[in-house]
Amino acid sequence: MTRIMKRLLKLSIILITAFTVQSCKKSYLDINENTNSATSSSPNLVLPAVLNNTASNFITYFNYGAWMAGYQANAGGYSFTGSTFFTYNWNSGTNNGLFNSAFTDLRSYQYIITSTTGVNKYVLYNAVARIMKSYYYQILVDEYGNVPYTEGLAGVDNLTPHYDDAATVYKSLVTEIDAAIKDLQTYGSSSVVSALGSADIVFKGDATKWIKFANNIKLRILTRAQAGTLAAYATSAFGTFSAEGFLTEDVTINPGYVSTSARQNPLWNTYHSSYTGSNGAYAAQQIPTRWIFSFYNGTKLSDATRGALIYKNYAAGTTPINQLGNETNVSSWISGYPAWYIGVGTALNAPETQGIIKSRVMGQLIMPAAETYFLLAEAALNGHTLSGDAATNFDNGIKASYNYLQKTGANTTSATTAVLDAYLTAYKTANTGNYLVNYSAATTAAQRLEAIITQKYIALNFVNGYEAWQEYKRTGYPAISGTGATTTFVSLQSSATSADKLPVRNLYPTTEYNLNPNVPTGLSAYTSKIFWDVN
Amino acid sequence: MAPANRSFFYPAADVSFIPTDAFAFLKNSKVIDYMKIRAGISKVGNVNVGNSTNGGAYSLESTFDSQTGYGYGTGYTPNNTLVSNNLKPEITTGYEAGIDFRLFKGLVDGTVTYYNTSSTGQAIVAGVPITTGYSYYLLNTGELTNEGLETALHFTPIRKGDWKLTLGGNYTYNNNKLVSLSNDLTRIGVSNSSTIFGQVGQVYPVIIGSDYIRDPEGRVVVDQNTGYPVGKTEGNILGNTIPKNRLGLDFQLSYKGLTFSGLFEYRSNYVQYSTAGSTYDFSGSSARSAYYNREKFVFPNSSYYDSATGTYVANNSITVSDGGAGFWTSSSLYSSVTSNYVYSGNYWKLRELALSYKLPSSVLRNVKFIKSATVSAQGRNLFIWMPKSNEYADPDYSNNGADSNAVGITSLSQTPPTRYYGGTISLTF
Repeated sequence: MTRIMKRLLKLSIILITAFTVQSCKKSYLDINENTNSATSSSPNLVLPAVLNNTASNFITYFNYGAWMAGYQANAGGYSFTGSTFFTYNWNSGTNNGLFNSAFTDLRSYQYIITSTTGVNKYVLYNAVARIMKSYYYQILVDEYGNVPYTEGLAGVDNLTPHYDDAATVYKSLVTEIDAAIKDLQTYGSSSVVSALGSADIVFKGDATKWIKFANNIKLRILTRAQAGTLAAYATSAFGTFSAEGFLTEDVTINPGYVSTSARQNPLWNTYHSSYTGSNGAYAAQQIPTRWIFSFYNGTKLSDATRGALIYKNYAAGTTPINQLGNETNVSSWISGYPAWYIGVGTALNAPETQGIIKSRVMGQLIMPAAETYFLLAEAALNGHTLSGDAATNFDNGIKASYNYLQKTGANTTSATTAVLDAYLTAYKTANTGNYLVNYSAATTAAQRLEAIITQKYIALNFVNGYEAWQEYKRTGYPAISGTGATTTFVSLQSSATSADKLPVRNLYPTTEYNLNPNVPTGLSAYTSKIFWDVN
Repeated sequence: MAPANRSFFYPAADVSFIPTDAFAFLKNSKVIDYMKIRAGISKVGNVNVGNSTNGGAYSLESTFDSQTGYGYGTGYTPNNTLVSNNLKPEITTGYEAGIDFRLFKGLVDGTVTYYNTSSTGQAIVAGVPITTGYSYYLLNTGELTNEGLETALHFTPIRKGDWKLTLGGNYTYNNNKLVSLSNDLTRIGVSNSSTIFGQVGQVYPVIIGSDYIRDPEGRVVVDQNTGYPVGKTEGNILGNTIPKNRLGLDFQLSYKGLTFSGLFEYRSNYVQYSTAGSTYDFSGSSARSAYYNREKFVFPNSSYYDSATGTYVANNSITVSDGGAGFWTSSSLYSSVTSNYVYSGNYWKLRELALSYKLPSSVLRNVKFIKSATVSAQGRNLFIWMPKSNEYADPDYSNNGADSNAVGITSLSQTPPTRYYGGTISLTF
């Protein structure tokens, strides 16, 4: 009896043990829970974060463009010896941020696209991510030409992506935008799908504005593609814009910037001061060029109003200016005052104001209304009927530029029509007979295009130099000549071998060459032009 | 790890055979005192996916970076590191065979070992092109083999009375090779390095970087007008960074209680990369930037393309347009060309010299509590002889730290090995 009991007891212990081991196996041997970082996310949490990053990274392109397009030069007191913005002596180690920042943000947009494709609930997130992906890919193509598109951004699925032909990528971007617009049209006001809501820090969930903004990006792409291998394609694609039309307002990204922590507006943070009041990275070492001043001070054009809205001490004539690459007798900044901040007060005592660097918490402008008007003006000039004639859009572009500058950080309401018209009239009067201001004075198509691109260049001054630089590459406007401080924006130290002594593209980063056997080789920064760059 | 990869088996076996014990005719041999033949085979498993800075054992999944404090609350973006969803333990299988022997009553003794190991699935963080959307990838690398020979031989030519002299040396040959990588990769940055790489089919690890465009004879092609190199190419393999040959020579001479010993070391067949080199050139403080007195010079070992004949002609006369700051500070002409800063790591080193004296027991007889006493003096890293091409530093030190796989980089920011002298008194109670 006792022996049987013992046996039973033993058996039951074994059974219990086996059962227990079985039941706790899952939690015991499961993967370690990462307590430090999230290992999964959802589109509504990624979208605002990546839009926020896009606004921050905008400064990378902004600063590069401000050097290249002649908006800024070296200030006194800083050594720029050997700077590639002086010499244009570019190699695979130069300007890598342009390439890397784009792909870094594209990682997040692609995450949204990949994780929401076929998920109807997130169709709006998917559409917005595709629009922003197209926005970024154009930026990449315009400086690098061929880039991985069909095989890019695939993570582990393709670790050595092939490079797609630049023109083909351009066409794909238009296709992608059209598809995104279609989804936004279908589901924009649907209650079945997840709304963009507060995750949309650009348009606050307004799907129609996203459609219009998508049309803006498409217009930017097609405008660039008008010359070169895509000319015929672009001409027909100009007829495919959706009925919602274009967004003629200043497009800003505002994640809810904070003035008291490291979450300030990135432009203010870089060109003015940090939230603790220390100088921003570029605040003191960069000042305007003599060249760009000539568009305000009467040398080329007279525009005291916008000049005074943009530059510190413009009216007094004491704004420090320089010719890019000149290193003798260079003015230093007005201590505590970046040249593009017109308020009175330094560091933490700098109040919000009008102009370019308005406020610590202003939304980051990524596409001004003026640019859209000038794109529409050029489309009309080339016979594409989209919205109004060329002259009206031209005038509206100038007014929109002034309108943006007169806004303050907090008060983003537009000036009244009367104020805008008065500004335009005064501007035209001050430049009587000059077709760069008075569109009707232009007598040839070339002059009209020069007027449109030159005014766009002025409107993009310290707003988006990257776009101004691409448009210079495409059109050759504003026209430059010689080596004078107001006749050219080319650096005095240029070592570029091209006719205009400017580079035409950037070179792929070294890391890409080291790790991806598919990178195009044999490129020159001075001769290997982007496909649309035919002049 | 994925459930399928959570257990592994690692056996090992060793055999040895001692002929001098086994065979009677060897036992009585006057030549061979002792001999042992041995062989071993082993398989070792190891899970090593992260470290204290990247999350250690938590780094088994891709993560998201968070943003907080903005108007929209908390946001997340995917981190730049990919993690393989099929991480496996690292398995190293190896075999080795060797022989140990002692001859002529201990006058000569030596050992020879051949080894060959193969590691598969070493978990590393590899650099990947940013066009994938990511910068790094935690994965199992594939197969890395390690083959080599270790030998040592010592003999004692003098052993007479109070005199004894032992001379000897050891020689090691080692060859690491990256046989394969997973996921169709052909090249990975080792430990996130952008200079030190593993390249399939090559010695591991190697320096990869830019080099001048060269003609078929290996000469740098220069422009017929400017004398400057015409350009550079990216992604060239510029050499392996772990020495293949290591030789040590040692001696020990003793007379009664006095012993004098020393150790020389030689390493060869590897290169190093100096990240500091371009800084020296840029600031004009390097010796090479003054070779030509900062005047125009003919680029050494160069040629130019003669379009008339379609051949490369040795360049003996075309000087660079600017031999001063215009050349030495130019990144595209000189300082960004990696191959300019890759140099031979070969060296001979007097690693150690030591002199010691053991007090004779007769001296200590009256001091009852001390059983023995030794006084010695030694110096380490006393002399180093390096080839002329090494203008930088002792190749023994690595910028990435002693425990990093990415060896072969020297920079401005680490202290080189120091020469030091010491004295020791040891007493046994």
